[in-house]
Amino acid sequence: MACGGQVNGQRNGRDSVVGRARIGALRAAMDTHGLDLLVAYGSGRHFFLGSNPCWYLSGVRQLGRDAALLVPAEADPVLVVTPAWDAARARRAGWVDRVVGADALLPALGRELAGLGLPAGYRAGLVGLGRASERIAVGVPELLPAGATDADELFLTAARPGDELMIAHLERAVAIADQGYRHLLAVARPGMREFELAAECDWAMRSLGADDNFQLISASQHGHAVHPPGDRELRAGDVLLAEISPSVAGHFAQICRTAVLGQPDQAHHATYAAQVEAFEAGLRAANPGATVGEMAAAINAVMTDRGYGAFTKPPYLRTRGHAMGLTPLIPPDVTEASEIVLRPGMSFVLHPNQYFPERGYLLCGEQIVIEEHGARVISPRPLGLDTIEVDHT
Amino acid sequence: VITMESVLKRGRTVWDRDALPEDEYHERVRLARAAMRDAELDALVLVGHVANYGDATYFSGSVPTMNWVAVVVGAEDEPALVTASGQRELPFLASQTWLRRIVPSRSLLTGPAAGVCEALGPPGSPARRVGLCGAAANLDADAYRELVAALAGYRVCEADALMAGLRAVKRPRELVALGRGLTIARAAVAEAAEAFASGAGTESAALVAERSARRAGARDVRLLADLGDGALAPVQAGAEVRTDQFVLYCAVEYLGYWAEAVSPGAPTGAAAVALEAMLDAAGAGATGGELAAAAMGALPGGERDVALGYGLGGGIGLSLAEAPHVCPGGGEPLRDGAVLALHVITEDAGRLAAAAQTVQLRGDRVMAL
Repeated sequence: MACGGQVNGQRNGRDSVVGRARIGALRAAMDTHGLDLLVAYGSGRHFFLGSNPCWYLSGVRQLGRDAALLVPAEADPVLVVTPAWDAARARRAGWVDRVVGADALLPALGRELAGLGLPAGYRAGLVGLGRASERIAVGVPELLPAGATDADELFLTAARPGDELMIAHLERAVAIADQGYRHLLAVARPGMREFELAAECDWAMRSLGADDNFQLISASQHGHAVHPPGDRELRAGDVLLAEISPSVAGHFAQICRTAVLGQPDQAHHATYAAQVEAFEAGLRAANPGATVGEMAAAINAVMTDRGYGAFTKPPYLRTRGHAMGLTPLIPPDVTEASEIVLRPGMSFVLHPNQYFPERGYLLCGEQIVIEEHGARVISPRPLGLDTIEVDHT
Repeated sequence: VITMESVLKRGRTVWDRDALPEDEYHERVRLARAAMRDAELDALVLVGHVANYGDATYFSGSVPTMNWVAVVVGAEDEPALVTASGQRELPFLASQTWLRRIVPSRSLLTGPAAGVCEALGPPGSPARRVGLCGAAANLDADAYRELVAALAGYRVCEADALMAGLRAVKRPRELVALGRGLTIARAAVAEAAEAFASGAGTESAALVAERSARRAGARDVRLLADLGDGALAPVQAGAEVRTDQFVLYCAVEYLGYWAEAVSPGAPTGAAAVALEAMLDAAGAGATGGELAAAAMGALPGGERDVALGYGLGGGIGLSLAEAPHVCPGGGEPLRDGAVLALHVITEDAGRLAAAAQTVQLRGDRVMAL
């Protein structure tokens, strides 16, 4: 399998071209706002419900708590990473030529700022500092001329989701998730503990190149939510839930799948069919120009028609989907209240996961991308309730 | 200084009542309340993060899956767990902690301010004195400022030192959990080394360690390996390499407690000599600085900087790196009963070399765990 988004490897041509385009788009926005410099902060505590401007703009997954990319309007960008010993890897992994390693961000940032040759009283913008610790969030502006402005909105405009690299990484992440799930189906058996199964699924995806993974895997005869894997042993008749979210180069993609250990009964099929119908209704509503709220309403309408309206809201579910990092999260949640307008390039998981009184909580969700003429499900795998053969002998 | 922040918890997530029963937490709360009385505090607010949850988990037993967590310990009321999770997760969360008061968050994207204030109750008159611990280090700046503003009606002071004192010496049940983690880490590294010896590529062999540890019950696993570039790097499959030696650093979290191991398991050369020097210098009353000096004294000049860059270790427990820290100038005396994870990662004859040992201080000696 081809390997985009290496955390350690050599930069490649496509990544560099896209990376420079990202920085170019940012500079165009800086020009519009009259900024001479932009400081893009990166938090090492990256997870799928938060963006990382530094990683997005540099192509480097930092190892330490703090990193920052300095983007001057007219000079080459400079990446500062922590810890110091990680600089050589960071230099190879991204598309920024000047990479500085440091054990503390602020002093190194100060030195690099002094070397940029910026004019006195230059205008600076700050991106992502809200995700830094208080010490860094206070310390970075103190290195800059008075009046440095919050440029998160600027980044939001410049970092429009859906460039070639982001979609490639998401497609690869979905492919990895699909294979991880296939491995899970292949090895799951009664007597195995949830956490052992989760370990297998995770290992399969890490072996295929996932650099991180958010994963909930649980099984029960009648569950009320999916949760992290525990000690419970799988049993015949269990409904196995898998919410799998591997990351490739920081771009998380999610699939939500349900399998039955043994033969599903009519209630399993009927409730899962309702989920598939709801998903497809949401997908049909996910057109450019439509709102996220309309998409969520289309899903909920199916459930209400089927008699499950009471379960389309908390505590039976949280949301009908959400975007994931590295870019700003658009939409952060798929709810009927959302007025966010769908645009080509947006990608998020759409999941009509919810509780059914007949069979408990079921998962059905796919990563989708909004394209010019509608939404595309990234995974080629048809939606369906899976079955795990159980030997009753 | 070994630091790997980018981690999501996804392994075995349980409250093991045999290993850490409810009475263990009652005792921790009792000791904390005694310390609070000495410090004239009416309540403690302990804020953690999935990457650094120790203070909060010390009282709750619950390790967050992602984002922040908080625990509020009052002078008399039952402590409360404030979680970033929502209502849907409450039944599962209730199975992970002895605490009955669990305050969920309205959104995964908000901070703990509202939940902490709900758990604390009104400030009172005169305003109650609240010790705040870990908030500045563990919260995003926006969430931190929101919390500080929300606590404006209370008299707030820092309580990091109070918590460091409570956690400095490991309790017997903590030692058991830590020991199990060590067993998992060492077995994982041994399996990985065996895979490498059998011809596996370096990254594939390293991932054998992750699989092994997770299958043995680790909730979190962090790997750094020598992938042929002369420095440790995070492990990601893909550009499969086969190095001429297998150097792996593996940290695992089991029941919230961290443990570390390295390959090779029986090191020789400069790293081993420097580690031995630290072990010889270790004992109650010695300082982290003295241990670091011992290691530096055993290493040639160029190798010292490499070793210091990776760090020499220090306390370990509910955090992978906790006080006391072994570093030049570290003046804090080591306490009897403290557990130290010491490691030396350096260059030796142009190749990366690693040695590690986890010990408990017993008087002026150390006992290997």
